[in-house]
Amino acid sequence: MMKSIVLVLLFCGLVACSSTNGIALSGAEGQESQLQVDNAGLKQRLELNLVQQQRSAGDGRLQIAVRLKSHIAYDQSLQYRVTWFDAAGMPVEPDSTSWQPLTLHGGEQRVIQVSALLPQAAAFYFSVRDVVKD
Amino acid sequence: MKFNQAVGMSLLAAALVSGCSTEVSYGDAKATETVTVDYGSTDLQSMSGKMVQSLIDNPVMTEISGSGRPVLFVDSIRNKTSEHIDTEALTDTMRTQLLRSGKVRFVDMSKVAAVKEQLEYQQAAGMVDPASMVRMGKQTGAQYMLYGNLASIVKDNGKVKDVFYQLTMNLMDLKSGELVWADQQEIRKQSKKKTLGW
Repeated sequence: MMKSIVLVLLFCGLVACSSTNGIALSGAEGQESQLQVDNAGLKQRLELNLVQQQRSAGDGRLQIAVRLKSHIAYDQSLQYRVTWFDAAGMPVEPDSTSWQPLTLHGGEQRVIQVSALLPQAAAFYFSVRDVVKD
Repeated sequence: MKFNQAVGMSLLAAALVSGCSTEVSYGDAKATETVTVDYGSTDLQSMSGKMVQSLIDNPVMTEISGSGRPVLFVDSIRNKTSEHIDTEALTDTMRTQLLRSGKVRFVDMSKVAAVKEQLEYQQAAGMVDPASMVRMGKQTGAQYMLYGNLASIVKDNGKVKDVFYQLTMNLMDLKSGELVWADQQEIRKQSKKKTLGW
């Protein structure tokens, strides 16, 4: 009886908690991108690659294209955000970017292209995590 | 055994009672919100962000800002959905991000009456130093108008509610009347009723 109650409470506790950490890709002009893994489970389900990093021809803003590839057979409800940094490492317009929802179907790969709002952005931090259900 | 049962029941009761209390906390204003299927903060941030990105990335922006920052005015976004949505929050967010990009300038048509009243006061009241007086007829005219529509399609079969939002934005050259840029952003949201769970 006691074991059942403890198991039920433990299960409820586990269901109520969703992890808010994820994986991230960071990079700067003239440097190799680096993958940071804070959620090993998500890393197994999702692959992140930097496809392209360039300055736009018109106004010189930094543009990146990141490929997300699902390694599982069912849908994943994810969210991603890009934070930009200038050459000195200071965040550029940090409050202008929000988490964007993204549903990745089983085995699907998608390339997301994002541009910095201002030309002084010289480095990026592209993070992905699971959507936390409210 | 009875003691164990009593402890178990107490734990369960404590869990249930604590579930009824109200807790207030601050959340992340930028995080994805999934409280209901209705239009929410994430939709506002996602649609406005992608629309601004589309406009400033488009070659037409390079073309019209080639000889200086063009002056725009934002007309309202018409709400064609079945929900009450504050579309001014959408236009305000887009205008702020576009201004911060440094690529365009804006005139605010919602404040024309207040500005006119202030200028008339400066000219006629005789209380303002003529050296600092703002003269009539010196304002900058807008060259482009930004406007749009927000539409939705809702399907509900009792178990699944599916909502599709579509935001269309247009940029019109006021001199020629031509649309020089347009884009659409779409969002699909679903809520499912669970047979079990709470």
